[in-house]
Amino acid sequence: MSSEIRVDEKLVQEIASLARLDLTEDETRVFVSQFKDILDYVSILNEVDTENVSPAYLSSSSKNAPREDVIEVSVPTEEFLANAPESKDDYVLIPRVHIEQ
Amino acid sequence: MQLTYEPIIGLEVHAELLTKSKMFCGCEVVDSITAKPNRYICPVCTGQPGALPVLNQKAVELAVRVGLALECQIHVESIFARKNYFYPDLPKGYQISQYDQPLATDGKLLIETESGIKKIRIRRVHLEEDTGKLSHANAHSFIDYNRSGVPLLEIVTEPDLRAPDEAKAYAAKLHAILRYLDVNSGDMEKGVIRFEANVSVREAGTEKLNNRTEIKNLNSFRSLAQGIEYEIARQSEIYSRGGIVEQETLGFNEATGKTYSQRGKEEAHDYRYFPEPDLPPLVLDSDWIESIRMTLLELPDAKTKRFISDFNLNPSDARFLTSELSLANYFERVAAKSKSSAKIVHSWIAGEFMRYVNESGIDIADITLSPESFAQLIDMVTYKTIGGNAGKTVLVELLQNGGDPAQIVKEKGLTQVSDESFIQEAVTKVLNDNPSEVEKYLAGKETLLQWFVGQVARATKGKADPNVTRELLVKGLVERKK
Amino acid sequence: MKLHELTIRETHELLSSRKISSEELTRDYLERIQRLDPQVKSYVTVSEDVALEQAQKADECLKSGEGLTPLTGIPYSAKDSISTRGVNTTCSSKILENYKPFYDATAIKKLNSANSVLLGKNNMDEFGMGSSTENSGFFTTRNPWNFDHVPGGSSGGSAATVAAGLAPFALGEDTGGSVRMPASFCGVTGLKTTYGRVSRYGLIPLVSSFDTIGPMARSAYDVALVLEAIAGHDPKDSTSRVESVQSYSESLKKTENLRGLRIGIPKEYFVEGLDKEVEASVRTAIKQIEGLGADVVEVSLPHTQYAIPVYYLILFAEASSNLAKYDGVRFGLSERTGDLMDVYLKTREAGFGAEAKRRIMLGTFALSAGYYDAYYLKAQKVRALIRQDFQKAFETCDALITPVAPTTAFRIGEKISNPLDMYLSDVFVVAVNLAGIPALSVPCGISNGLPIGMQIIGPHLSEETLLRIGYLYQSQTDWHTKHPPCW
Ligand SMILES: [Mg+2]
Ligand SMILES: [Zn+2]
Repeated sequence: MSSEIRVDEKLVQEIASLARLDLTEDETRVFVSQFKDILDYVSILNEVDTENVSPAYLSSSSKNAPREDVIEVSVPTEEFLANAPESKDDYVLIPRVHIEQ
Repeated sequence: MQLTYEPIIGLEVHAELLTKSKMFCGCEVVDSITAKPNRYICPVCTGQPGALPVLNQKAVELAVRVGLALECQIHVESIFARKNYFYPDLPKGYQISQYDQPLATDGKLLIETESGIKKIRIRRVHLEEDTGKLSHANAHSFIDYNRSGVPLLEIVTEPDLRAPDEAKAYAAKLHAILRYLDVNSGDMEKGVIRFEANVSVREAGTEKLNNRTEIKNLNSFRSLAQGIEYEIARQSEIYSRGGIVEQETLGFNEATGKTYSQRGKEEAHDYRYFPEPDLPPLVLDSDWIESIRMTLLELPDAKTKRFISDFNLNPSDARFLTSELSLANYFERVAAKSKSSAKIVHSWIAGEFMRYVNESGIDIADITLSPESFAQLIDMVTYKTIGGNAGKTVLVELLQNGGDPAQIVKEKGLTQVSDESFIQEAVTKVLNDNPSEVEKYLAGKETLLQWFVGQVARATKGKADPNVTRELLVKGLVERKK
Repeated sequence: MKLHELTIRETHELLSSRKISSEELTRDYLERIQRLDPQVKSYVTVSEDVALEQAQKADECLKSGEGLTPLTGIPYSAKDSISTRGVNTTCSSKILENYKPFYDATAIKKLNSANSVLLGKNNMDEFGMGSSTENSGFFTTRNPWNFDHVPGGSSGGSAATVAAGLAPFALGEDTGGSVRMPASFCGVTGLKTTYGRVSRYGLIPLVSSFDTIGPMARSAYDVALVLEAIAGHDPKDSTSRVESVQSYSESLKKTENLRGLRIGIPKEYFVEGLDKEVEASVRTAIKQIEGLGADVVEVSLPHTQYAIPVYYLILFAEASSNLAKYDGVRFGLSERTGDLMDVYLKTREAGFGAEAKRRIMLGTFALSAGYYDAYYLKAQKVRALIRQDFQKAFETCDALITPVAPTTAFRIGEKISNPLDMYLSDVFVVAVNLAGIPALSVPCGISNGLPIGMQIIGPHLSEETLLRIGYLYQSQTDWHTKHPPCW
């Protein structure tokens, strides 16, 4: 597992940008070394032969039990917006999303 | 040397499903263009921490209907997945979609092209949820989550399309099918069907696989064809001067007809799909799937074929009639009640009837005129109880105010008369009252005959059979020559 | 006898015979919290107004006798990852510091309809990421037995609250030992429920496929009372179990011995690194359980050593996705300087602690293109083998007994600088979450003034059996009645 992957500052930065995390240089450095340790540790799973094993995604034995297509009462707009950092005219407000033309 | 380039096009269609409530919660599905913002929301569709999705059974049923209609393999077990990306209209930070094991795969749709019928392979049909809606003004963007969580069906083709027109034909055909199946409202202007096109080009005759671009927000058939057209030209131009097309996501500007780069907004596609742990696998009962298959209606292609063979219609008339299910149904009901030929019924429906429908904006399904009355009226014209023009007048009357055709004809005194003495009387009067026209006719201006026919029709309030009128007029004029 | 020293069962007697009112009881607890919690630091929010209002409602109910349940008028606290309408629910994260949900979790709803009284919300490791509450975005909870030691985590606040007599019971949440481990460290009884037995609706997720809400109280009997109030199928949680809920407390009253029960001792759980005194206490407990009539046999769970890496890989992946919604757009912290990308980056930078960031990073990595098969998929496959281990063991055994943790509560600061070391303290608890099965943590000893716990593990939906073992064990022993010095 980990042996083929080069964990360096560039990789850590790329992941941080995918995850929308703004890491400081210090954090980046610490993460590089902790990543190495942790990935090294989990590579113990390579010992296990899983050739003919199918993954066990869910813990519950339940099947999907869909609901009827019935309308339920919605939540009052003010209750939803009470938590919004910014809102206007019943919209949630954010800095403008940039769309290049 | 001028190289020619061949386009390779694949389409992804997102269609809103006609459910009452959203995909994973009980919030009402409303017209997000007219509804007040953030009224149809709850913990689930606004991504509140701790809220959980519960699948809408009806959405599954509608999706199965489409899968079957597109001759897909419906998978008894399918799973939902999370598609992870950040965007403010996506409240959970991921979209619940299907990835590895979609609901349906391996279907097909036939389209008509200039070179004949062509099969477009359907790669997959899967369920997913819609996002909220963004609007922009000055320094801010505004988010409305009414649309968030509305069920969408994504229908993906193999890259089998080779021209903008083919893409358009495919889209139009799919649109008709979705309407037929009553799974989508078909209101394109409301954005209930949205297209994304994957386009690449290669030197004609080669099997090269070049980078492709993905054009988003194509919201009409016109935009679809235009966007693809523009993209083919753009890519061909790049290759012709030795450049390389970058694999990227593009937007489409309806005003300019051009595509534009959306890069910078979202980095390379790394959606980090994984199975949605909040939803167990969707397991369908194969008997249930069969029961849906049984309820499937005849689709446009089959219906067109049947109309041609059963009604002896020509292909283009048949295609017109089957373009909308409600139209086809109405036609069939009228034709069944009418003694006139299907061709005649078609011309009534394609003519005066459609004019009324288009002008009034009324839905064919909401037409109150019974097929029986319409058929009766058509037959009155066919069998000359009334004249063609009178028939049109009565039809409009019936469509607008209802009533019984025979009664209206009687009240308005429209019954056509072929009794020669009655018509002769009017002919004589018209010829006597218009000596200068008679003179001109006799001097050789024979086109005036139609004018005389009109005068007689007016004098008899449309009751005179035009053929008898014409005969008597010619006879009277010839007599006056002597 | 002081009110806070009573069990739920005893308190219910007083309430229903109207010797005390719920309001008196609630005020007594609120007063204790005010006096003691500044040292224990188990509460993030004390919901005094809500509590008094609910207590008055409970008193009306007690007066009329209508809709009376064993939990009517009984105060409780909840881990701060369980949504409470109108009461701050922070997951001990700065990113949710002022977040007030507009809906109740199903478990809370059920307690509301039983007219229980919410005292407040308990501190935890941020979003459940930790084994000590040192990763709380606000402060570290102290172990009531020794303030220099951690209470365990991530439901450390809930365990400390119950142990210090600051609530008769608490709702904890167990993702990878988060109920059992702190219960063991603080000397209380805690149940990790079968996945899906208690609705997750309103539980702020860490790992959606592992998370379970479970009761923490002072005895197995009290745990049973809480469980039967909160368990059951919920149409709002597609992963909740449809099986009907047993009357656990009733069946406990009828139980007399453990004859016919077969208990397995997994040899992989008694290995090097296990503290000698912990081992001795657990083995003594096993002997006592044998004495109650159970057969004891050794069993093997051969994939045990892979549980931690499997657990963490799946956790990283799901957590990275579950924590994506904290983006400063709709709720919670929002750093509004610059453009939208700045809002995302600065909000998440300021809002998440180091452990949350580390796990988000590792999960994003494990799921990203090119690494998915090697990490996430591989982990899910090995998980299947771990589940098989348990299935096999339960073919011959009704329950398994192991230690909860290799040691007693460690010192504050001891492991915080080495995340991997911290992860390894979960070695005996995480496999249970991988299999989705229930397990009960029961106090079974004290070493150097710190409690020791044993873990009783059973197959899916075997809560009744586990509680029966715990109940009978507690009828023979008094470890669960011992109190910390601050009591
Ligand atoms: Mg999609
Ligand atoms: Zn909703």
